[in-house]
Amino acid sequence: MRASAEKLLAVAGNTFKECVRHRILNVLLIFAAAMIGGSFLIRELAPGAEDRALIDTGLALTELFGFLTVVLSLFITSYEEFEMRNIWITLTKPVSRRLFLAGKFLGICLTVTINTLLMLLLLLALAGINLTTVNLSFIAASLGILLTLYVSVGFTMLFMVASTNLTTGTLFAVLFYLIGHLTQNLKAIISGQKTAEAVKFTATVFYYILPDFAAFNFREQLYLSAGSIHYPLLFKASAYGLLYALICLLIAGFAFSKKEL
Amino acid sequence: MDAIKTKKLNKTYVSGHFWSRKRSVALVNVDLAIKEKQVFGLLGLNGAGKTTLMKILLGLVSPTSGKALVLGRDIREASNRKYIAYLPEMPYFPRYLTPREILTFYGRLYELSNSESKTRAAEALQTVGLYKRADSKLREFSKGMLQRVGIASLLLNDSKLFFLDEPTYGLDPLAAKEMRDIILGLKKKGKTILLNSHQINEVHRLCDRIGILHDGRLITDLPVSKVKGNMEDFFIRTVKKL
Repeated sequence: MRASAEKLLAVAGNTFKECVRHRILNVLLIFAAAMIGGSFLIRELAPGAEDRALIDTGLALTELFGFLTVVLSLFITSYEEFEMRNIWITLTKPVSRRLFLAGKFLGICLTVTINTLLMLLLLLALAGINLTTVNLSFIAASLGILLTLYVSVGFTMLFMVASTNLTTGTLFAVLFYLIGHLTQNLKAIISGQKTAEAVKFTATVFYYILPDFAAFNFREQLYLSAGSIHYPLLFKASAYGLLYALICLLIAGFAFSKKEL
Repeated sequence: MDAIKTKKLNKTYVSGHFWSRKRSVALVNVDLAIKEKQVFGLLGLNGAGKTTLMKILLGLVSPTSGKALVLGRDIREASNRKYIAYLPEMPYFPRYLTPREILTFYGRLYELSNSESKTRAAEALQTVGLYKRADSKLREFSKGMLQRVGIASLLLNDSKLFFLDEPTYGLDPLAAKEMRDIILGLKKKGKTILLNSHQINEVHRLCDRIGILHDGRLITDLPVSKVKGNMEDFFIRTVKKL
């Protein structure tokens, strides 16, 4: 058990090092910082709601660049592993494929967490310069972004492992991310009184398969609840996000254990 | 005990979509037994099935049918890979890591402690002449230097069985000689080696026994001492006969 935990941490640490040193990911982080800095200018376009424009744009960009970090980190590391075949050496060591994948998941999550926290710190600094008051709900909104990104790591990893090539996997991941922001609309179909039962059933199935990113969106509370955090909702969203990511990881582990390298 | 034993090993690759499946046979009823402490040379033309056989023995690919045992166990079980080491043809490592880091990482996968991994990584880099470049990024390394890092990765653990796929590929004559010396050193220590190489003279010099794979079939398996005349002529004669 201890040996497995040490291997898990070794894989996670190695993945993290690979990601944080990669030039493309460093450039992406710099670009993200520049874009978030740009939201300082965007606020000028919303007279009377400058504070909200700054925070909303900043949080939206943080999530977007966080997702790009997820996709690029996984694409770059998977490219080196599968296309350049460096995974052949790693997997001939006494490490199971499932454990390797779990370690990689942790490593990518750590990379994404640090990048996201850096972007959020920059946003807070900009808010400070702008004398914008940021309440406690900012923490909930930030956690919501992180949960969205952890779920994204889960399904992106699954698509990259299960598809025959990395480009297809990446394309599926991007589509899933976009659809995940629209899943809430399925609820309207499910609860519609005039909707046929077959449609309701299909919508329900899709609702449970697709990620519902609206569950992680606490940004409205920044303005509605005067700084309070709705803890039960936050707990429910965290449980949903972590469970979704875990299920993706389990399916990815199964697919990877059958994959011929 | 046999270090490697296969019984009626078959592998057919299936590709394409379900409406246009393509099958290509890579291995046909391969029965192979390599004794412990033996250096076995696997010869064959390109596409003969050598890499597929090695990948099955390493647990990277599953056989379609048949059995493969490595050190008496099923290699697909991770814990059974503790005493094997593998050097692929043209090894590739994460570009932004250093040789010291990647070797320490492999050491930790071999269940060595962090400090032990670091010590062994340093020793292995010293052996292959890369100690001075231990902290350079691997993306700055030439093909030959990457091959040396691969060789260093073989020396981390006290492995019993070594799988070497074209170990002198990309090495300059001096480095190739050093590689052969490392293989001879392993042989002296009583390690079992499966050597996959197109360098017939190298196989002749290093191996106790050879096997020739042709179109997925093991057509010859005999001690090197029984090869009559020149090894290269023997190989060409054997393959052309079919």
